Amino acid sequence: MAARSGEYVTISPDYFLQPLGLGELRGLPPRRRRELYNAIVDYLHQQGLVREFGAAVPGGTVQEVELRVPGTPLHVHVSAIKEPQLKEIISLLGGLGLVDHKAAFTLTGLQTLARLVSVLKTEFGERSVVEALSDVKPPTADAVAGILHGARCRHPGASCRFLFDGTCTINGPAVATTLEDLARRGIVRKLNAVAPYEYAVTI
Amino acid sequence: MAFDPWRDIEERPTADVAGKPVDVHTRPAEGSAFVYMLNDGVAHETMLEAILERLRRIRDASSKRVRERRFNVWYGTTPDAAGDLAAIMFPDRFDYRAWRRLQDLDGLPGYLHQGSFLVAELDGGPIARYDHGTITGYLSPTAPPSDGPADVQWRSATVVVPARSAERKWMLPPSGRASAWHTGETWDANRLRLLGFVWHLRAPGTYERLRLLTEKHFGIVVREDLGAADSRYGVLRMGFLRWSDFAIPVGVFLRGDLPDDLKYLVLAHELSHYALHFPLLYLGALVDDIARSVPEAAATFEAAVATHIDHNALERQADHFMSHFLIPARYDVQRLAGVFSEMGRQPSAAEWVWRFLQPLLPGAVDEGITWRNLEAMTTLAAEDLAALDDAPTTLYARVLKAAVERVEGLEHDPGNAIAAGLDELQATFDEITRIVTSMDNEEARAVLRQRMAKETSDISASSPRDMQLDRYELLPAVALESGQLARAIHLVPAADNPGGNEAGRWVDRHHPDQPAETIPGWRELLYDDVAIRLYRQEAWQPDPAST
Repeated sequence: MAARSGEYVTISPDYFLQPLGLGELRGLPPRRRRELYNAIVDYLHQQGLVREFGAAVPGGTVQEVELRVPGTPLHVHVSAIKEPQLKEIISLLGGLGLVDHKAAFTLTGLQTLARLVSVLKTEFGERSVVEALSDVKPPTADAVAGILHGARCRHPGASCRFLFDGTCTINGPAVATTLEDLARRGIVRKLNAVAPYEYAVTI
Repeated sequence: MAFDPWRDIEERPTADVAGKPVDVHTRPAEGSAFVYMLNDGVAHETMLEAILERLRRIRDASSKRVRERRFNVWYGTTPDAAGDLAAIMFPDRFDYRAWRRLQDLDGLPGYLHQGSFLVAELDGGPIARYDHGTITGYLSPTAPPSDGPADVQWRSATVVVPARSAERKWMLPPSGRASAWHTGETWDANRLRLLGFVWHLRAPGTYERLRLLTEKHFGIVVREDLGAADSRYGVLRMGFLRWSDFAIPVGVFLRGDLPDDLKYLVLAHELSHYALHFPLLYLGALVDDIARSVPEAAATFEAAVATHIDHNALERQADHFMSHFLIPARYDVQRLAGVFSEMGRQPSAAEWVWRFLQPLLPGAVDEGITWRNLEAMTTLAAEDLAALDDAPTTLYARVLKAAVERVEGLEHDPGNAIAAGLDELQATFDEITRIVTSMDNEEARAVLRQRMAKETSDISASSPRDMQLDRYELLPAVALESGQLARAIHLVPAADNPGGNEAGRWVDRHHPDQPAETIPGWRELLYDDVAIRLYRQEAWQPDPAST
């Protein structure tokens, strides 16, 4: 039975991020991409959003030849495209620079990221602060403020208090206070004992 | 004028956290570098002073030709076996009069050499900028505006790293133009046209250009009509036979939601099928037409296809030819592998293929290969090549395998099995047409039924399976005797039913002059053993009166 257009989208390891409405992940080699694909499929299976329509059948009638999606095509219900948590998870995976992190590419890894997504208070800019830690060296409050302040807001839909006219207005002291609070809650950890303090995300 | 990352910047509307203006730079690909062993004499702050001094020379030059220019200057460090290196980078193209003002940078301590280098090799960013007499120095976003020399404007910089894309060149058009109506004879000429076109490729092209050339020169319609739910990336399809000359239109249908890189691959793959396998599809279309009245003809032909044609072999052969659209035939990859050496190691031809394909394939590595990541890339290539097997489960693996096999000289049709299979099908077709044209339909059906019974005990098992999930809707025959195959009528929407509504009127496409009827109306007119095919999506086909 064919998947009806409009109800399902077909994904494959070669092409799955865009059909699912997820952003592209830079720096992801093919093997890691396949691992991520498998993890996402497991996640969607858990949500009951995946159907398999049987293995690819060779050829068609003798009046046409096809380039079929290799392997077994997976049909994902269109509601998966609107699934906000998956989008947040993948965005965080890229934002945290976890493309080299092996554990992130399993169902358990995605679930860990899902928990992280749920505890970050996006209205206070915590999501962007956590992501910026992986973009700066050294990962200090000043460096994070330097990269965020004045730049386009990374998550404009989050109703963050630091968003003004599409740009981030967070400053150094606000970042420092935020990081201290995140460390107290176990979301990040302090890497050294002497200022300027450096932080890393706890995964 | 095109954006030049060595000369152009954008000003960010918002200041940095210290209140300084911000310039947005795009990382250039490569530039000219002065390279040093990293030491205090070429650390960032010291180097900034040295650069500003030399930019002042350009600003204060007596010649307007020297003063009137703009360019960015980059600085960064990179690890090396002997210790960290520092490099200051300028645009490659720099006229000598201005370059003379910078040349004594080779006198700074720790100087090693000059040359062209990839900017991606450096950990660093813009350090200064010169723009028609204005000198800019870049500080970190948290540094306060400098109270240094007043002739320098102090800003900070952010860097945009462009997404890596492969160099795609404009494709030379093939010679001549094919008709939109294809026969065995015209295909022969068109196939040569396509082979010549592929031979002259200098680099991969773009999807839009290939699509244009396919429609204009190869006479093949290209449509992005497959939906996002379709489990096919693309399909090469024959249209309706034109009886006056037994010509047929040809179309390629693609999933419209695919990115252009993937559409290019898919279109190239289907064109490869056209070049290699049109006779199979053409015979199939001729038989399908005969089968309206003699359905046993289709069953006989499809049984022959099942016996003599290995669909996997057809796909492999098409992939093999398709690889020429990515790595042109003119690239002598084997010779390249024999000549180049990197750090005492010669990458194999297969590894070179892997490198060429990365920027072209969706889902492949998207960073360029530099000296810094060479080891990691070599490992990735080795892993991907070792994982290739006979049943690739991704398009990436399929394309890589086909390209490697082609470059390594593996036969794309070992033992000419496909060619022999096509010959068998031609013989089967000739036999079918001999039977059908030498006796009436009922006699022909009986003869073919007997022929099929000798070859298999279950006639229904060789009945054509309807795998055309969206080509047409099949309304089965009302009543069939045991083992009997259904004849068929092919209906297309009447002019007053453009949407193909089942409640509307339909026309027999083989007798368009006859009155249109509703579906129940057709049922009344037809014998019980006739199935109805409803074709809704055939507007792509050219007017039969066209040439």
